Amino acid sequence: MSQTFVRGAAVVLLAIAALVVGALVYAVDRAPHSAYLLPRALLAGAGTAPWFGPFAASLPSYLHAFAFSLLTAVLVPSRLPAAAACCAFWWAVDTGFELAQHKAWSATIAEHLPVWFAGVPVLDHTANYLVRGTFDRLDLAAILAGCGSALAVLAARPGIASRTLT
Amino acid sequence: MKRILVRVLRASALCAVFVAGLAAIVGSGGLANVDTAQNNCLNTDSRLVIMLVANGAASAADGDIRLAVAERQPIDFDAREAARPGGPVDDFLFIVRQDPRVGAQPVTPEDGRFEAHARLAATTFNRDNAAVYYALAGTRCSGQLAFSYSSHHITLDVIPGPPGWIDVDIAGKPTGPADVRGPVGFTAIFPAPPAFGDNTYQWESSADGGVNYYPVRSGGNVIASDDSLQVVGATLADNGKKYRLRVTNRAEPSLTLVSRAATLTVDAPAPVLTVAQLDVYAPHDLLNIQLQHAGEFAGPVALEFDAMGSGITGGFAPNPAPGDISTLNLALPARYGAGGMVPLRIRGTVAGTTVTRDFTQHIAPLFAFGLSPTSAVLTAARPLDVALTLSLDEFGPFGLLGIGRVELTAPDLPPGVTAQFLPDAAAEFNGLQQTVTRTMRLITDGSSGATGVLQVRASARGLGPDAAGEFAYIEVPLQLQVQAEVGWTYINNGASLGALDAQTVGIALQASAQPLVAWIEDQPDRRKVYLSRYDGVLWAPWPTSGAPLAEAVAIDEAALALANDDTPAVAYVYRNGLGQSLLNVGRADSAWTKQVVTSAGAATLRSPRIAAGNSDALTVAYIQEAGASAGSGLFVARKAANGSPFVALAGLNPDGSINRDVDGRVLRDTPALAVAAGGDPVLAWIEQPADAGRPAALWLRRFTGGAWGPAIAVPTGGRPLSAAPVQIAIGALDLVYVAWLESTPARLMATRFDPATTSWSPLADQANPDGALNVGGEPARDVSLAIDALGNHVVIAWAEGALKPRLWAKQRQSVSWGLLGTTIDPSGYAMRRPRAVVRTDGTVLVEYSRFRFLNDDLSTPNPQADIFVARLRP
Repeated sequence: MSQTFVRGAAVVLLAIAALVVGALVYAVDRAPHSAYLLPRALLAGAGTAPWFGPFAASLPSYLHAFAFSLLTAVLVPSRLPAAAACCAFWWAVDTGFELAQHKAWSATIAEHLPVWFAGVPVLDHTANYLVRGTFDRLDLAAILAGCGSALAVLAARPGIASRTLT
Repeated sequence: MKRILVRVLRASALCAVFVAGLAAIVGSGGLANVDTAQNNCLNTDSRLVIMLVANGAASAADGDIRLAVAERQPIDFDAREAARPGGPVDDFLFIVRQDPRVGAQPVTPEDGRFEAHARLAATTFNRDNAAVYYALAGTRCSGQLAFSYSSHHITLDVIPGPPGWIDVDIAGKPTGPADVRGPVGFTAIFPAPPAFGDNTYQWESSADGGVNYYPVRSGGNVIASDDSLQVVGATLADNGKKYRLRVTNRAEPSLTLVSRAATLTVDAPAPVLTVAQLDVYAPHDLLNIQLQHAGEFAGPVALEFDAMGSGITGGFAPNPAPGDISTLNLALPARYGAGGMVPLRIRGTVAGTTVTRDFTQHIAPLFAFGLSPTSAVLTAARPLDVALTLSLDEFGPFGLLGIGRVELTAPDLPPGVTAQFLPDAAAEFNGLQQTVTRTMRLITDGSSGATGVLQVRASARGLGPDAAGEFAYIEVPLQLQVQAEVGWTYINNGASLGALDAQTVGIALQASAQPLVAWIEDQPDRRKVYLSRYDGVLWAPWPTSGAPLAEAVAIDEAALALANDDTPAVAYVYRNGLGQSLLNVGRADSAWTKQVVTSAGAATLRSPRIAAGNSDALTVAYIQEAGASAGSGLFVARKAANGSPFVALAGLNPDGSINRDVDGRVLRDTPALAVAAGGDPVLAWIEQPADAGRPAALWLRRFTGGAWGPAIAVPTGGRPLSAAPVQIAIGALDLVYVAWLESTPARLMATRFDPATTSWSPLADQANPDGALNVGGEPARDVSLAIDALGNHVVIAWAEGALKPRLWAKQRQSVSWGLLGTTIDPSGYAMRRPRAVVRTDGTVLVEYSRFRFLNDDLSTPNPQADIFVARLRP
């Protein structure tokens, strides 16, 4: 088993751990029915234990940007520019979705969503995401922090500049 | 490969991560989780508690409201969901008005919110009294719509004004309705202007611009109500109509107000312009393009022509009516003399709507076309040649730019007529060749007649930019009379292909049923044996090389047969330079192949006969004259297959002859040969007695079982027989037909032999007192007997007369003979040596020599004659 593989696996495990933590926020700290993707059984105790306190609002945004930046980076050549591009990509995506929740235009965007979204699981809740979601500047900061943290992890990997994953 | 696989896997993983990331975003973040299991979906069984208030007056839950309101007063409705177990309403809410006269109508649109607001600017008694308002919530749950009504409703009690009172929103007169405009087929809606009071409403319409108005009742495409007037599926007939509303107080009918008149404008559909892609010529500098416009118009069509910079000028007559066919006359500049393709454009404007139609006009090169003659009669006797002249005008520098291609056709030929263009149907002009001539050869098979105009078409196009385009053409009429073949008809020109001195040898029908004739050209110092074949159009040499079968100073006689493989075989006797007599057989495949049957040395061979049997077997009969003292003998030789040698069939005499000393007479005259169905040859011959006092005898003998059977005397009645060749033919059941001529008088006689019963049946013509077949009056000569392949048609042809030469043919029908038509050749020229053949369909063909004498004076040496073939359809 090559060192490259081991390093990649470690990054993937770190990302998965971050996603698990993020799911926990919804499972215990958020209101019931607030997370569309999570199983209902997991949300049974939602709202009962404020484990994450004031961080519960923006922690998912941080963890999402962090985890998916890592997951993407392990699939591209193991060079710093590529890793930075992955982090920048997810920063742009997450920031874009967060901005789309702003009340100034969220309803307009929701109106112009393609009709066929209604027939595709997950996509059928895009409108709700936009209209019911809450724009929060702290979320923007959390996204930036998550992507920055991911970049730091990736840059700290040995051989980042000279090796590729393959 | 591994590298590619890794890249594919990596790309797939990236896509998966991307999708998962987006899903995580959308699927998180405080979203409502709609779940039918949690009854978050509305359904018709779960009435929501929806609060509906009017003018701020709320009712108790589940309590209906009756709201009294004076006319003209506004009403504000507000609806919102009050409570809902299991979560908020997911989709939409709107207010519905239940009009007792019309039905339910949404007052507010479904707007995706969970509050709805509606405002009636001013209530009217007629429209709003007793109307019921309620709220309706809906949700899209699992792809299906579900509705829930508010649990209470509001009924309006509108208090009208005093009796005899009408009020309008603008003092003095109701406003509206507004003018309406739309395309054909749309639904025009004229809303009633607000009017107050207990009134009756009557819509009125005018079709004459507002001069006269008549009440409107619902019906047809009109729906009139107190609220509105609708014209459903407006047509152009509705265009310009005016509508107004008359309001009358119910209690005081004299109190009436009339609204302003609204005008309905129905826009016409776009005009349809159709431009025929015509291949137009004549004359070149003035093209006529036909254009048709269709559809329903609101007015006349204004047509414009756009030359698109081509330099072509032209225009339309103004304002054609719908459906008219307009003609566009175009004048072409000289540069289109070589033809070409020109993009052109037409614009049609109707009622302010303009339609543009682009098309390409194909212009023929500037050419002229003529034919000569312009009227003719076509018969089956010979083709009709029409001279065609095509000329291309000179134009351009030095007049050398006239290039183009012309193709000739004769569409719509009459039945049975074919046309050939010689040397071919195409002609190309170049800068140096401005005139091209062609010949159109018309041929009829005589199957039907017709009289009319045959259009001969010359289609031309330039070789320039229109080389791949369509042709334009000129048609020149040819007044053509096609004569159906009635009676005997020559098959085109003489079959001897221009030879001046020809005598018949034989005629046969190939499998294609086309005739093949053998003939001898008799020149003063040479004689040649030829074959001609009729291909349905013309006679042509066969084989196609045109080479004669034989060419010698002395070719005495010949005979023709078709081998089983349809190959013609000719037996002929000639003498070589040593005076020796030889009998050859030539087969004509692609070329002649000759085979010597026998040579007679000092003796003389004559009267060859040839017949085909099964496979490629050929049988030859001939007479060998050993001299006056030795007499003559009849011999038969046969070959079993093509390429094998001829072998003499065992004769009855020491020299191998068949007939010598049958009864001590001397053979003098030509034999007849036929082959029975089993391949056995059958011979007939005449013996003339050396002693002139004894009668001649006619014998029949058949080779069967490897030996010659007995000579059977043909019952001739003991009358003197002519030296003319006897004829035999074998029909069905091996019946043997025999025909011969008596000498004094020259009567034509026939009989039939049945080998099964060994009996004879005279085939006399009962129409003649003596039973002879010839018509009488003139001596008969040169008999030819033919039977079709199925043995159904027995035909006999003969020549007759010296002073009045004629050619006749008779066919045996049932038990009697019938003359076939009139005389075969009424020309009056002398005719000899007919050779008949009959198809299975009864068509008879007769080959004969027609001499260039008006009588039978053949004493002139080397008489000139052509070979003719006459045909008679059944």
